[in-house]
Amino acid sequence: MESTKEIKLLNYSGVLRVLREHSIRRAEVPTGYALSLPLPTRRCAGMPGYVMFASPMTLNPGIPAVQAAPDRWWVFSAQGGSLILYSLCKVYPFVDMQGWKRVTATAGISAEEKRADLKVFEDLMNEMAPAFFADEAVDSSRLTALAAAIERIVPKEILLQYRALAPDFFKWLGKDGMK
Amino acid sequence: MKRESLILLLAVVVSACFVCRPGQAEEPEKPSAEAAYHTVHSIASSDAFKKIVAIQIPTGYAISLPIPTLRAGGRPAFAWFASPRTLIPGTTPVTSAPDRWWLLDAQSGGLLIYSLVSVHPFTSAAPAKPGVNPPAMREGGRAIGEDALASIDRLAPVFFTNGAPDETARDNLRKDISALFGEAGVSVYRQLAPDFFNWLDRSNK
Repeated sequence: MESTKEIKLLNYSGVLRVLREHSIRRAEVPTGYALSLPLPTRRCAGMPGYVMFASPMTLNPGIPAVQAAPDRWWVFSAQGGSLILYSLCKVYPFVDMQGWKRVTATAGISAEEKRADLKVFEDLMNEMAPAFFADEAVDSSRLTALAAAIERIVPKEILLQYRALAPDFFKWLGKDGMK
Repeated sequence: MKRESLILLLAVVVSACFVCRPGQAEEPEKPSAEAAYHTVHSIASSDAFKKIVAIQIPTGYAISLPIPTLRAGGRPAFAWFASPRTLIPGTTPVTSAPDRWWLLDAQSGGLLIYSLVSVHPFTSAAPAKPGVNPPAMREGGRAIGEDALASIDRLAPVFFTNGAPDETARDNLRKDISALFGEAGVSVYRQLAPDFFNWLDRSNK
């Protein structure tokens, strides 16, 4: 595994900036798709990166939104934010997706609460992603807080997809069995 | 609200301002003789190609010719690779093994895959040795291999629909590619699009 001690890696806010500015999102992700949260990973030949997927969503007035299985995914390098992989899932899937079903959105917390949860998550990731990349031990209470933040943000039905996307991150989190 | 939060919000909150276009990039359309395919020139002029080159390919890299392929689950596509090149004044440029590759949809022009070779290689074969890889598609700003590109344009739609290759165009393309890149270079192209080269090898007789 490549040493990251001397290399300055993007923190979580940094990768969000990359995502906002990178052409891949504007050019390759159709309007109306749901984007996952970027998650830290070393799944790409050990390189530190942030991986995410995008899923088609069906929105019809008066009925709950339906999110299909991811159909594309990509990885930004944590060393500068360049794209190291982009693929349609039909060309190169991040996992065997057989059996993945569409997920119907359920009423949850308000948008305001969700934004607050996302801010907590971002702050925790800024703190802990460097430790993940360096494979350093982290106080278990912080890991628990991060796992709880993820569970608050990501619907249970979608969490399976996240675990498949960044299995190494969830293993480090000690939550590879998260339901 | 911070823009970062807005982006994250998309993951979990449904917003009425988005218009759904379900099914996009789902099942590839079956190649048909009537389908309109990009030419090598039109796809090299596409936004997707320009963005790849501008954003993903470091300065000084050699970019391959686009090669037709169905390796993306049967979807008609053009494949490229790019290789680092060392330029030292007074010496012959040395081109290293490809370190990235990508496919663009031959009909929509959309990006199907882009990857560093170290992450997801286009072949399981051993990397080519430095200096034996194909030269750049452009050298000194001048396009090379125009004859090869014209042959690819003639052959690609036939290949996509599994037609029989025109013997003359096929032989011309083989000669052109061999002349441009040599045997070792051709082998890298074969690794990139083995289906196209196998099709070229198929005898009509």
